[in-house]
Amino acid sequence: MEILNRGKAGTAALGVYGAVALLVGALLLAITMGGVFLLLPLAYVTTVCILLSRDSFRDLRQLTKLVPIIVIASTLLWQEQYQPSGTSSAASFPLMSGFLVGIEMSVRAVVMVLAISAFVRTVDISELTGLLERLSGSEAFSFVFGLAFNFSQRLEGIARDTLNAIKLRGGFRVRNLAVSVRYLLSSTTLKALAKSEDMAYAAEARAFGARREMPNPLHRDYPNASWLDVAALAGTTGLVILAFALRLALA
Amino acid sequence: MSPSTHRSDRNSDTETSSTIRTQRSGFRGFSTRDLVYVAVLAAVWAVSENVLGAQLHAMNIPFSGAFLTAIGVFLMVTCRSFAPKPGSILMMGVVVALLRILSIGAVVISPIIAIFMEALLVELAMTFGGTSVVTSSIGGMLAEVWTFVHPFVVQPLLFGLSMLVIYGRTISVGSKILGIDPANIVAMILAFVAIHAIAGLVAGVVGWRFSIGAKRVLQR
Repeated sequence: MEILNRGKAGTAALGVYGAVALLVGALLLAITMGGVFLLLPLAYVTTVCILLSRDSFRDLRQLTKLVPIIVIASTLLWQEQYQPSGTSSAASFPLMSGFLVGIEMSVRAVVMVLAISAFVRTVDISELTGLLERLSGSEAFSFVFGLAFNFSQRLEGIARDTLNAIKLRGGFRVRNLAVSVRYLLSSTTLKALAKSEDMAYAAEARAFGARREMPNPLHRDYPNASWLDVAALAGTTGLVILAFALRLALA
Repeated sequence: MSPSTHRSDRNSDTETSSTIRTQRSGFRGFSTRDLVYVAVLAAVWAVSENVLGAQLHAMNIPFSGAFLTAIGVFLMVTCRSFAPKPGSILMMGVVVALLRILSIGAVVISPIIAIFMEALLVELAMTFGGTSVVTSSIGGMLAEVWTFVHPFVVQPLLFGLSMLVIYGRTISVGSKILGIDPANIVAMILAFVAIHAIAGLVAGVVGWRFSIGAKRVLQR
């Protein structure tokens, strides 16, 4: 289960409720705020990431190509008639309005990437599947996820061996790509489906799905919200209210 | 022990076994076997994204995203054929998205949204249209067209609606520079959509035919 904790070296123990509150709050602010007010969610997610999930900053790498393109494109292509009213006087310079719009768009993207990354890195996957279980009202999801997770590692080895075997026989060139993919996919899928029968019998032999009206010694108690979750929920709600109040007051 | 006691014991046994059967099918109608099929095919999809995605990337194949989506469609149709219950494809999509988060270490938002949306579209097509070759090809078409539309939906979500203005300006300025009528650019976009739709249709039909063949092989 070590892999489940991958990338969580610099993370604090925030529960699923707190993580959901952080994500919803940050995304709400990123979508609704504009201009200078976008600095609020930016400061918020940056603080959260510094405190709870420093690894999230590494995920900003996915924007390194996109952000310069967006800033350059908006600087060159933006026209004055698209400028919303109430903007600063700096926007009256040629190309400046486009540049400012590009910066605003980039800040919004940074907030969203940091918020989603912090959510995924902070929340425990087993807690997240537990939440999905409770929402759906069945144990099916965690069973499927656990099985897929364990089986994918074994299957990856099988798929890589098959891929290398096909490549050694001259496969995976541009001229025979479709046939090579067909061989790889059909053999791997058929092998996996054949294995499914054994897995289903094994699960049923271990009484998966069978439950009687008696206390189950293996029953999992889901953790309640911790003080950190409550703090995250309260902080996020406060910030959202503050941001909307500020925007209304300064509008 | 009186015969009546025996009968009541037998009755209680029958009651217990029927309770077990009811609970088993209480996973939103999924049997254990259905759940295993969903899990195994989700694992195949996740592995194909990793193994085949890396191989196609190394080969610099154009439209490799559409190629990987076609494989996803093939597996989703196979999944619905083996586990013909509403929700099986959506569950598979959510599991693949979570596996992708865990497998690559970094949180790459765009592919996760793409996987979820593709699963949702195929699920909707096969839930409302029934499980057949026609709905699997329609679902495949929708999922493949989504791969083309995906950046134009995700980028405005990520960067804001100003992105749409930039797209519009790019088309008008680009058509002026290249000397092409903007209507022709729209025709080119429609041609790309059609190519994706045909790829999805083929993937859906191949997935359906494979699932029938695989069932026959596994029954031997």
